[in-house]
Amino acid sequence: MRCPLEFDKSAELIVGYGARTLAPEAAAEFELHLHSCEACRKMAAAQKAVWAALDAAERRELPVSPDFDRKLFQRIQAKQNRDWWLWRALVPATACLALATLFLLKQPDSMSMPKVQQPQPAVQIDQVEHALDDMDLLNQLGAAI
Amino acid sequence: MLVRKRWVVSAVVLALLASPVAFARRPPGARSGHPAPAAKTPIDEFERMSPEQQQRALNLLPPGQRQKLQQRLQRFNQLPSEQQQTLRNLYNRLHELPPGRQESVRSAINRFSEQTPDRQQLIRDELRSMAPLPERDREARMATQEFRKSFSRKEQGIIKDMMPVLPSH
Repeated sequence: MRCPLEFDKSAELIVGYGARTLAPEAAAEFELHLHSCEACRKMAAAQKAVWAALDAAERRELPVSPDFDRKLFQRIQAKQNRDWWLWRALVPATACLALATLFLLKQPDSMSMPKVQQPQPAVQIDQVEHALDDMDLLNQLGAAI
Repeated sequence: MLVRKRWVVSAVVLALLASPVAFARRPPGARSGHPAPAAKTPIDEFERMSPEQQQRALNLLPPGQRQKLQQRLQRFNQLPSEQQQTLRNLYNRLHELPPGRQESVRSAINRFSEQTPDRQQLIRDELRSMAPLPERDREARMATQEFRKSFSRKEQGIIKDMMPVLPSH
């Protein structure tokens, strides 16, 4: 077998061997080559070490808080409640605002309605007062004129 | 162009005629030289108003002033009708005058009221005798020695200032 390190697809071959994804014939042929090639042996060993470490990590259980689920559901519930209250307050407030706007828009119409004009007196009351002042003054002349 | 000018002139004339300033403080009938006999004063116009209108107009005044005005109206209405008519005529003649001359007449009446009763009576008699005379004869009368001897300069001034409210002939 020609040494995989001498051609471009060497990485695929060595990684595939480490991951045990090579076809059996290819794997057997590469193993034969490993007996005679120290460089490939080192590469394959390094690959095996990587895969062994990943397998070990997969098997090891990560510490999880016992009430993780409860806390998570609490947080979800709290968020839902918050949203619900927000909507509960927001919807009536929006409705009130819309009604107020509608009322204000309608208001000028009613204000601009022609008011019933009170009939104006034929004479202003201050004119009557001034006339009485003059009459009192003129009355001082008596029946002179 | 000519038509437009006519429209502008008509509009100006109408605006002047409709202007409240044009006839401010003039009683009806005051536009011509002689007031019509049926000329009405503001008191007559008030009397012609409906009770509701009168009340509405009176309500514009403070209560004390309103009551005083009602009493004065009542006093005027209790005067003999002949005296009422004389006062109406005097009022209308007074309001035909320009404001400055109206004030002169008012001032003369005030000076008249400061005279003693017997002097007041002499002035009344003089005015009564002048009333039927044409204006030229009144002027002639005031220029006579008799007139000047009969009245002091102040009294002469009172009579002269009251002339405008005498009936014109």
